[in-house]
Amino acid sequence: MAAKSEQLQIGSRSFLLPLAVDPAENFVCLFTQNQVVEILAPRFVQPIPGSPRHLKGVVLYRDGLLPVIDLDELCNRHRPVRIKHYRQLAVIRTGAVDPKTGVPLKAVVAARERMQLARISGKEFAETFKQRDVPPGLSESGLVRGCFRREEDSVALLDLGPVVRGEYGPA
Amino acid sequence: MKTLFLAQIGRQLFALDKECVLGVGKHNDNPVKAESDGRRYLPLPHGHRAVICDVRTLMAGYEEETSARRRGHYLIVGHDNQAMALAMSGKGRIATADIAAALPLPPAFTGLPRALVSGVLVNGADLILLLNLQAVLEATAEQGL
Repeated sequence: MAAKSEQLQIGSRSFLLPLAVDPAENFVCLFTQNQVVEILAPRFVQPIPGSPRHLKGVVLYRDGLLPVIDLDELCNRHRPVRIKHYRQLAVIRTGAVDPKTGVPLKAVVAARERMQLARISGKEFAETFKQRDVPPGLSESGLVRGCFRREEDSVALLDLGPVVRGEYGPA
Repeated sequence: MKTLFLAQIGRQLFALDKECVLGVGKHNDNPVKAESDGRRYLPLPHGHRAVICDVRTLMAGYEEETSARRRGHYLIVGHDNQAMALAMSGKGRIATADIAAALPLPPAFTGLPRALVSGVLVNGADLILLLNLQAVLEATAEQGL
């Protein structure tokens, strides 16, 4: 109990992935420590023909295949981003389950820049981050759970469940 | 175990049933004109022809690269009483594999990608996509190839 309280005060580790939403502001997607399974070094992503732009392909991870998602493509559906090289691949717990098997679904999020680490406590988040309007690109994705701003930094929380369940269609 | 033909298309390895393979042809520089049905056909000996299906054009963001690198070989396969010519790099090779061990695509892939790729074979660090010829024929027809 004491350890949990201490963790809340110190703040859990968060992973911040820069998003290409608006070049004029620093926009990141936040993943909690519990969401991030592992950060992988760049490796070959096997493209799957006929896939939408935001699905870059699959990678083999622990004897299974995980979809590789490009969040910049998701957030800029009418403006192709065309990034060929990624610096990191983050294995993420999406919270969604396979509709057929009930197995929890993970995904790999491709990062064109290194993910930033930050310690943000719940109290700090509530006190310093204010809710803000969702930018049009992000809004069109339909995956935003929340969008917050602190000074010039903006943070988006995304729900990748529809994407990994195959329920996310192109615009 | 099943005997498969492995073809490198773009940077990817694709596998299809060896029984479907009719031969391998070399690409020449003669332009192939689109016919009245909007498709392009590769002339074969004895007056036969094969409909050209370029899987590379189905890869997202591959258009420019594809047009610049059309040279290589064609894999001629028979499917549903017609011949298909799949543009590929190199000459391909024969391999045996246990296709029952193929992994399915993650649920994120639906529709066309799931129709095109019936499974994924793992060979060390390589992933080999099992290609569905009927889906390739239909998908490339939509693109007028």
